[in-house]
Amino acid sequence: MIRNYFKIALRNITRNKAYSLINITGLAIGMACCILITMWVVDELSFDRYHENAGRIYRVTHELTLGGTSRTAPLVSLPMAPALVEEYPEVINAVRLSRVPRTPVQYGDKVFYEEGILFADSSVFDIFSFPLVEGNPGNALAASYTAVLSEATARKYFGDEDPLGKTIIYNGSSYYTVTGVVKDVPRNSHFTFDILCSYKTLVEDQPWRSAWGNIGDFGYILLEKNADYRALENKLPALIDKHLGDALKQVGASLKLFVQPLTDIHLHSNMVGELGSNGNIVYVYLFSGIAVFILLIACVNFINLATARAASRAREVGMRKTFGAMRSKLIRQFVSESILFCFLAVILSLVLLELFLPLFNSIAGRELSVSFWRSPWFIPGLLGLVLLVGLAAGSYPAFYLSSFQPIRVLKGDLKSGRSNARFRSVLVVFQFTISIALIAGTVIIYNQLNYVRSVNLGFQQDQVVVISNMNKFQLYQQESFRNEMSGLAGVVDVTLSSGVPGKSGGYLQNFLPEGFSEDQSQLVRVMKIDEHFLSTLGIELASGRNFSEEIASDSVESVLINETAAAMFGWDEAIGKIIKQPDTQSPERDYISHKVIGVVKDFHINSLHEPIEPLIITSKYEPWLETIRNLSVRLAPGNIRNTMDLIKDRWSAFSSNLPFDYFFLDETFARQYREDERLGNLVLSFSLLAVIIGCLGLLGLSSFTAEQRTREIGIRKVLGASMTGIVRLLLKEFTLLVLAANVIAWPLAYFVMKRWLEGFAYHTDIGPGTFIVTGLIALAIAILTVSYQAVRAAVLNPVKALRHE
Amino acid sequence: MIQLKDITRFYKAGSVNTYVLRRINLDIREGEHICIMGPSGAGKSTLLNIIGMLDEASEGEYRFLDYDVHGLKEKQRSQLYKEFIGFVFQSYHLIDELTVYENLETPLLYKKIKSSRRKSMVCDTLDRFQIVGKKDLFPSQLSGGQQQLVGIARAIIAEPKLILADEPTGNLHSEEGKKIMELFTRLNEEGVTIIQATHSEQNAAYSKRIIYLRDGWLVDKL
Repeated sequence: MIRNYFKIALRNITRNKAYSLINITGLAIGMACCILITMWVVDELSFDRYHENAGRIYRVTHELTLGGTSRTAPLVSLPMAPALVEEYPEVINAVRLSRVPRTPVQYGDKVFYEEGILFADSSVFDIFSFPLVEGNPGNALAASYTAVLSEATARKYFGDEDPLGKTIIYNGSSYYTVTGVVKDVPRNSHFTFDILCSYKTLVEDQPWRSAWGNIGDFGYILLEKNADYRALENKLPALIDKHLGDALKQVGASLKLFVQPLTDIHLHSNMVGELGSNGNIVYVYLFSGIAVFILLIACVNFINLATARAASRAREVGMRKTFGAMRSKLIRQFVSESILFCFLAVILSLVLLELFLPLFNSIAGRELSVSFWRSPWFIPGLLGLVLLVGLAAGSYPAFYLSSFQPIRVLKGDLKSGRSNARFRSVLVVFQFTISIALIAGTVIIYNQLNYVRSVNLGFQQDQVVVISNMNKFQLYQQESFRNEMSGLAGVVDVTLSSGVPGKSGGYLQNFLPEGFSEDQSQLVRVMKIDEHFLSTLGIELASGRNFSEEIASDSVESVLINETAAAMFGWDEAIGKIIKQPDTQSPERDYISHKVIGVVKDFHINSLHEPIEPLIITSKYEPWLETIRNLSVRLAPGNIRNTMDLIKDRWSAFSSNLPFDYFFLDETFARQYREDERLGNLVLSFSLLAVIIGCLGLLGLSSFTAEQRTREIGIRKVLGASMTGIVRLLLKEFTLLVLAANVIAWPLAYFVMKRWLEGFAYHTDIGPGTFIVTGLIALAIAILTVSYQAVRAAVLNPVKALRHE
Repeated sequence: MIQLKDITRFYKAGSVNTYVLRRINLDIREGEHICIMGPSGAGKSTLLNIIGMLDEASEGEYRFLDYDVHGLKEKQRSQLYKEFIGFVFQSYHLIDELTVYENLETPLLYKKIKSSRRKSMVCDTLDRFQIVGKKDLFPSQLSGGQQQLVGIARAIIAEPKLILADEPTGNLHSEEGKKIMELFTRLNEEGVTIIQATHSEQNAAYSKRIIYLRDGWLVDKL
């Protein structure tokens, strides 16, 4: 019996080639999207789960509230992690990680800038599953000035040499002995590293770190099996109270610690200062939704086409019933037929997947590979998909087709599908609703990206090149190099600063602005600049003056603030106001006073996702706050390559041959929107696919309606209808459906995209223009698709059409 | 075998009932060869459909063998189709996607007959109808007469007790029609009950009993 069904199905497929092609292609594209998104989602969900202890590892984070503002960060202070192990029996182990900025590392004559350097306790190997290829995990990082390299990094420096026992030079001046080689960190980790240096080095060399209040490291803890991390979290206020209670009270601050499961970090944590750029659970939901919807669009095609051409199967149904076939048998036949369709489609979808995976990877910034196919549940998953789609797409047609009464279909008076036309209309509206919503989403995302690129940032970002490793030099060296640079041909201006827009880096410090009592400290970010900063970056003063070399008091006493800071402190006239800062070096907790000499207009130091923060800008002579890392050079337009060569030469001479490491300010600033651009490109791709699948269905459907109405069209023509009149008649039906879909899709897209836009502190509004454009696009696509059939039907000789009956 | 008692069939058209059959009383014994005659619209096909249980009477009583047809469930009805009834249609209604062989095989599949026996039954039937050479052709590759031959072959392959034929020769020219009627006569001699609806006096001549229908009434003579 199955063979009989199979034969019929196969012959139907080969006999109606156009129909089968539309159906199978549509389903295949839908399935390929679905598999692709599933692969992506599975990858997202797999983050950090490869650790043997994954379910027992937690990260400790904090929330600091000061002067009415709260900051959360995934950071703790040096003594916190060991204290947790000591005081709470359920905490078995802890590891501290400390991140350092891009640093040159040297072995022999090889020097590379390393982004991925972490300082770590040796317990890192006990807690996480980072297997050592060489060296002893028990003591690899136990001593100070030891380092463990990833396999790739070791190969980069040592080639075929044995790395163990070799010495690498960190930042030109510190010597680290290589004590181990670790397997490269899997890509699906919320943090990766190339070099681990022993945390003990920091403990010994930077004693100021050991203060309880000096929060700047990452802390991970390993809990006992079945320990309740929320219960632990509830016990932590006591720990803070014991060690920091008085100090916090003094400045009117509160500090809370949180315990965060490792496996939640990638998708649920998006704090300032994460170790890597994390994913977002919302996108997981969003894309899962898109996958389901695209698959549904493909299923709808199948349903629509199958019911539209039901008449051609009706006689078979009637005959089978007179043979004594039960309806259930017929349902089974048609469902297995649609499963066969899906099976063919899934094979095609794998071909599509193989072809388009590299493209998807480049759009999504992933390295998904077909090796994924070897996973044990891939084949069952695929078969499950075939069954699922087969049932979803095949059930309705099966029920519909099997419901035919033999007496009616065998008499040949089946009124082909008028009653079903309404149901099909609903489905077409559904398809177009999804397509239109996706198109609208795309338009809105691109609008916003366009906006963030064109908005006035408050500084001039073009043609500024930044050398960002000035911190290993003394101030006088930095200044002499700055002066040398400013004399170069093709250089407009040069400045030294701690941070630059797009890479602020500065820490939050607590300050006591004038008019605030001692327990009302304010948490403000600090930046350190020289007197050329404003002119080089084109930042304007709102009032007051810039730092000046001529005025001696400017060196340490004066500060600039931005407009937001002035507003935060409630100052109408900020010039001359005093900002005090606790002197952490003095045991009596004295205050250092700064006088505000100028207010700069707000400029975006972070991406437009973040609101502009209050900012205190100190002069380059200020001894404690921040370090000067960056030298920014504004280039004259034209011949930039020449100027760059000049700068490079000077740098080599100045730095005694450190590699020339630089970035362009505008590129770095734009990179902050990379994830948003990815999202935009992904949504664009998927909406294109949704539209293609939808159009395939529309094409098929319109050819059937045109066929069904051949006689009607013939009669109309005989009665004198013009060709355009006929085309209009055929277009009208689908045009109305697309318009209806627009009405449903607009609010849908509006509410979803509004939430996305709220992720930007500065964003465009969703105007009616967006929707009108979207609607017109959808309408144009639909009309273009349908008009092919409409015109074909309209030019048909009426004699032929009428003979057809 | 078949007892129709006061069978009436009407269709609702708005508030008016359009009568197609009116109070038909009919007894048909096993082994009969009956011809239903009447002009177009007299209700021949409707009567045949009701006998074949493809349609249901609006009023009246219908007993097929020992079953009260009115109360039958889908399952029992399909059981009766499988066991007892073969249909032959004016426009053949072969399944276009299947070859002659496969078309013949299909009813056997629903009867759950084993593969080897199915094969021999199909081969016997092909032999008997002398269409062995055509077994791999599709319906569209056959002439009308050949298609109807296959249609009948398909109707009798499952060895039904009753063959219902609705204008079996309506689309055929007279020579082909004659062959089909001779075939029916031979089947009837083998014990199969045959009921056919037809316009053709020529066909009626082959049957042993003729009933006349006019405007839904059973009449003695046209």
